[in-house]
Amino acid sequence: MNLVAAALAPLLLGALLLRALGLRWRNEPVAWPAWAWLAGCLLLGAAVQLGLELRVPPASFWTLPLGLAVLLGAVALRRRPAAPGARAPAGAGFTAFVVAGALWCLLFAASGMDRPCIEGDEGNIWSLKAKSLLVDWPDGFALAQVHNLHPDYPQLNPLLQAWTFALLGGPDSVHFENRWLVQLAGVALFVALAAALRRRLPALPAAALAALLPLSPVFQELLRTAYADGMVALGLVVALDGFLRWREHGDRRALWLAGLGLAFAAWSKNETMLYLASAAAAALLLRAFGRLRPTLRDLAPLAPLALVVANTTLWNGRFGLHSDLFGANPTGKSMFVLMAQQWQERVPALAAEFAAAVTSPAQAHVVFGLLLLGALLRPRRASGPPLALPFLALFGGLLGLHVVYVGSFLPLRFHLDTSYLRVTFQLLPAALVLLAALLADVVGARGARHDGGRP
Amino acid sequence: MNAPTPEPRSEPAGRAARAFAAVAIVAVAVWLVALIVRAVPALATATAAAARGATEPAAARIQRSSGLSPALRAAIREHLPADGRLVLYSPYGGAAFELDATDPRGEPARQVRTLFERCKNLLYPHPRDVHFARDAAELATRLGPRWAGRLLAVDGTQGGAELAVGGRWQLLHTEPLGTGVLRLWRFQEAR
Repeated sequence: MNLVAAALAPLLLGALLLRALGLRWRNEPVAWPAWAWLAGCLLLGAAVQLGLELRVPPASFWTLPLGLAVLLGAVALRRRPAAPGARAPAGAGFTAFVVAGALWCLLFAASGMDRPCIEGDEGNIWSLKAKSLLVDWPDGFALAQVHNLHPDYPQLNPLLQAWTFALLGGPDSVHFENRWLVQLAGVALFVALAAALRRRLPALPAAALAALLPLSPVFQELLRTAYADGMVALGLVVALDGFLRWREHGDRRALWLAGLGLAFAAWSKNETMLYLASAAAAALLLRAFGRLRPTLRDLAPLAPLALVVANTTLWNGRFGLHSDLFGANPTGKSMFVLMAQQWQERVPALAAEFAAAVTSPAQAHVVFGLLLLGALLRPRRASGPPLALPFLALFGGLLGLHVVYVGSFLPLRFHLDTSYLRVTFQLLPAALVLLAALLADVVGARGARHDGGRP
Repeated sequence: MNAPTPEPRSEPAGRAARAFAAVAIVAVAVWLVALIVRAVPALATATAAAARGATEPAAARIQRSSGLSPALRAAIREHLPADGRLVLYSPYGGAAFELDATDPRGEPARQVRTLFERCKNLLYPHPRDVHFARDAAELATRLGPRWAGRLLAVDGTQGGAELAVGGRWQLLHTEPLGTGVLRLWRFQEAR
């Protein structure tokens, strides 16, 4: 019963937030549960952090979302209903495909119940942080991160696990179920991706592209565990889908959805800061060429993201948690120093690693290769509105990830073997959405128009 | 960005666009087949794991996947004071080769680190102070007079030799692990 309550809380909060934003289930029935999960996890994370700051005992954590739900409910009920007839027709067949895919994802998530959450990054970083939020908060929290290689990682994943720990009995007796909200973000990723692809393509090609995700071994492993990389991917897909919807129809609700997606990704893992830097650089470049003229109102949906970034910065400052990239590692050297020392050896190795990943039939990373090919063969479409910004941001982010490996203090082979496919996977679902957008005018041309609905 | 521009959907697709679409369709089809072939055993493994997750008691699943039995965990918690220290010890070295997964010389070090991670994360917060040692010298750095009676070592040394690093130890518990054995010692007195 408590497990059901633990999982229903973010869904309820998310549903209310979407309604308050004017995003209704009937407008986008496929994507809506995934969007609700994302929005609800953001709110639940905020509620749990607030509860920690107010020293609410873990046994009373169940009260935390209630106040928020009442407030949101009041706002949501006053919100005007969405325009009638704005339903996006996914089709019964495609909906059945999404349900089957979600069940597939749930099976892989359930397979995680076979192994306790105590190994690798899920045990050393994410779960340990969650436990220390409950048992060493706040005085011993920093000390508890002594063996944590990335103590500066953001808090959403640990906050969600802390919520589940608190409802199910605590870190001493719960070693499997604490992953569930994070794992369900993986399921939401598949659903959000499928809806984003269907919006741009007919059902069959959309399903074919979407199927690459649950068949990908990296994604299956993410579904099984509590790593945050699937959460980043979910945030990025929702952000990209929302951005493209706004650019297609000017619907500001979609822009707020994109803002929530970015906030979710940024609160999930630090690589998002790299992607944001890449997107900001791309935006400045496009603005310099007169291709982008954002107004202050356009930037308002970035407010949740700004809050998340400020919160993480303050948090790390408060507990003295530093990034290994900036010298908090056994070498004492920042990644910039290490880059200067290692680039000659590492750049060719990384190029080879990228080529191997993109051509490997055992992975779905071929999508990056197809997207690169698409940008070369269709430069006008890739560099035109609305794709130019996400294209530049994605490739800049992908390049940035490789640059980080050049400046890593860890032996390159070890670092690549333990993270390369998983970390680059963060961008893979967004790359699928961009690929669909690039193909839409050719592949979608013969089918019925399938993107008539606003979000 | 105040005036969103419609996507250029209505432009006629050129030859390059059609060629790209053809390449993409073929590539996605080929990769889907390859991934489906690989997904069949993955699905079987996941189904079996999910079934075990639904039917086996949590303690059995923890022991099977981590090697840490309820008896060993109970012994550690019984004998270790709240401000005590736990050290996972294996005297077979390998630290210099640990991060090269292909080098067998690093295997002992990788094993002790894995056991350390499992133990640390499974038992937290009791104890909070957990370390590992990959040879006797490394273990010695974790010891000292102030730890007498407050430090336990999970010892992966095989054979019957008593633990004698840095002082006198008392054997508390013996745990079979595969074909080998783990022994739990209390650090009694510094030498």
